[in-house]
Amino acid sequence: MQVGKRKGLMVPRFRNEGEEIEFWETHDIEDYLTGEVVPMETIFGSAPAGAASDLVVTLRFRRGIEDRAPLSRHFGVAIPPELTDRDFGVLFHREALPRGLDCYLVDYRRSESSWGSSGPPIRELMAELNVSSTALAEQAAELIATRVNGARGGARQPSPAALPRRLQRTIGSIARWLREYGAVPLTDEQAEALLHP
Amino acid sequence: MLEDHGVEYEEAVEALRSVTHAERAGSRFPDVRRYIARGHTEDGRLLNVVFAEEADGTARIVTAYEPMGDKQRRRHGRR
Repeated sequence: MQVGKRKGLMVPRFRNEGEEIEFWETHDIEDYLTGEVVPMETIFGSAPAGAASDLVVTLRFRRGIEDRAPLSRHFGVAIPPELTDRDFGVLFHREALPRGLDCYLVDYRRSESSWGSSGPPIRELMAELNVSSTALAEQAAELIATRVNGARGGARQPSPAALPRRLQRTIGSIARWLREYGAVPLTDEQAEALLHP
Repeated sequence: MLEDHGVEYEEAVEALRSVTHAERAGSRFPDVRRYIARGHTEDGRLLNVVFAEEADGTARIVTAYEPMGDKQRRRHGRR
């Protein structure tokens, strides 16, 4: 690891994601690097033993109408080894979604991935939500993080049988929350029209 | 942003997952942790991915772009 190899410019604090994206549009990150090289596992942690049992839920928020920021969040959910063969994708499939959410959730996928070549494989489930504003996406992301991370470790860890229900309840909560706050479901075409008016 | 650089979100994720290390940008604020990962997509496309480490341990992809110019390409090659 190289630490303090050279002194670059300092990254400021950002008020929001849109401001940060604008910042990196006009500034070269190469000028801000410290030379400190950090293992990805140090930043985000490594999957525990039996990592194939981990499920990474990736929620992608399409841009809102307030700025151009594509928003994304990654959430890890510990999945008991006995459930590794379960198809969690079905939880997000249109037919299995709680009423009203099918307008929001448009895609999912599963894949094998890891940090570089040395990390253990991680199952990924990707969901994509289209919402009408960046603020909604931000708030929804926080809600999801709280709910999904609540499924990890400690006293709140659900039993293997309860985990799928917890995930489904989480999705239902998101749908209700979005509706309560007046979110407007968008089709892919509508989202693209907003992106490229 | 990603669209501006002709990079799909999935490609940025692939590039991020292809690396074992990232280089940190400096900041006076302890809660502002930004990194650049020099990775590649499953199709072999070289990408620089700027990402934020959030307080809850999640990653937020800020932008991703192909390395431009000799300086960046050399840096990419040393990753």
